[in-house]
Amino acid sequence: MPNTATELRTKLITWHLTDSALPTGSFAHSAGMETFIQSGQIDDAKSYGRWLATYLYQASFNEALAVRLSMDLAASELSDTEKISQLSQLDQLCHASQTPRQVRQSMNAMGKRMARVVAITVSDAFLVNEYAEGISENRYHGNPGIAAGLAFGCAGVSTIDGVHAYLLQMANSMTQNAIRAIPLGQDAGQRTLVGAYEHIERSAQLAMRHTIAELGVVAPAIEISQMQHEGLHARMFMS
Amino acid sequence: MWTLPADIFSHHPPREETGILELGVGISGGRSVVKQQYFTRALKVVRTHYLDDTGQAYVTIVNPGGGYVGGDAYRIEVEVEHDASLLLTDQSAVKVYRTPNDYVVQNMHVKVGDCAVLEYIPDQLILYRDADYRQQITADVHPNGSLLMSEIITPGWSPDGGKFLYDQAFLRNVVTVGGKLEIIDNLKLNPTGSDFRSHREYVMAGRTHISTVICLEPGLTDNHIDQVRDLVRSHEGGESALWGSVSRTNSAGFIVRALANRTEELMHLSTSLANFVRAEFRGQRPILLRKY
Repeated sequence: MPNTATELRTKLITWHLTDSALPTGSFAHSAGMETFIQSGQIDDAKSYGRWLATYLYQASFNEALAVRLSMDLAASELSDTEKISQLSQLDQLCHASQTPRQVRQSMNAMGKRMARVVAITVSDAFLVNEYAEGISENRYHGNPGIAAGLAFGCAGVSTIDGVHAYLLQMANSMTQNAIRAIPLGQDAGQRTLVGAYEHIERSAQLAMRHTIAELGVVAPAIEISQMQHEGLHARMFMS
Repeated sequence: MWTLPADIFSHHPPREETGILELGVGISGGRSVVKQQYFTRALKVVRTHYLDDTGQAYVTIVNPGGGYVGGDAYRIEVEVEHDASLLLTDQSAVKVYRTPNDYVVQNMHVKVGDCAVLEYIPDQLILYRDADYRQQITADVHPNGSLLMSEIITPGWSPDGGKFLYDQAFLRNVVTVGGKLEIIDNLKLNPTGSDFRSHREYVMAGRTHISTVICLEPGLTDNHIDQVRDLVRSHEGGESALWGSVSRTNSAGFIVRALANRTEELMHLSTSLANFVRAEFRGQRPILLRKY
């Protein structure tokens, strides 16, 4: 039976790990948005808002789904050995399904940092420590959604809260990038973020429903922009 | 925990296949020959041809039924043994007609051996109004093997003139190299769904046709990726508004994704990519398919 102290701790962990200022390096990755900024397709809050909506929709098949699946894993009744085996498979599935090279690299870099932060925050959880150690020993590729999901799962966060919080963090971090890169005013950025609430809600619904068969489904236009990002001459972002 | 649900790339309960094709190609007498074949019902192959002097077998899949309908299940297994080379195509576009309350599945497994080559360049897949098509290709490639496979998804016209009205194209490719998972390429397009429609700008960039080329080629370097990037760029634009790009896969290889408003330009891009890889790595002449 959870008492008030553990409930509060669960909330604090959720807010802490989904703060856009968490040192995961998300400020360096635009997930292909920069390609559209350079082509002029994204040039104001409105056009950014449309892109953000699809970025969040696409996350329902990718990072948000990784959060949900790793929360399912953390909550499962499997033995520790079996959990490690399933974690390893999930990490490989996520890695293999990222077709653009810079996306793989960004996920691995942010996954490594997220796993490290998470291991400090939820330091008593076996799976959380296993993932952080395993990434630094190159036994896992690293994925920030998996790292966060394991922490949420081990800290007793409800699955839907974890997925919502993670999606809000994605939207928030990306909006900070958009404010710098497009650029947008701070207020316009915050208004766009409020406009994204409905897309966070929808993406979370989808992530709760998607199966392993849907993991890695791409939004092709976003994927092409992520591939083209490799060929841009001057870049602010690493992806 | 991560096994696929039973009702996505197969029917549940499974149905007897509408068509089965099993093909084994190996070296005999200095050239690649079909050593083993089995087909039944709605799939068959025609006699092997040789299009150039490299000894590469050219095999064409034929669908005597003329098209796929709801409830159909197809299974294709292709193995190219060590040192053998196979160019596999089909006789004409696979057409998937409306599949009310049901769906079509095609499962294909390919195995590419040591120093073997498989080029799988089928015609476009045409999905008509209300069609629900699911396809999974699993490819098991030897670290010294070469694989190039392409796919083009084209929306069929409906009798009332509407276009881009198919229900679903769910195409999942799983590639392992030397037993290690390297690529999951997952496309799920639901043009009539409300999510898809509201996100069309950044899902299809306003286009209607999509193509994918997956290539695994030992010896492929970042320099080749730059050349492929230039090649894709040279195909961009034009009447069909082709737009696409390439990225390097985990192991030596690449994946190209392109969007356009017509099939022809996407097919031209796919064959150009295949021709680049042939010329660069095997000194082989461009593909000249006899069917046209």
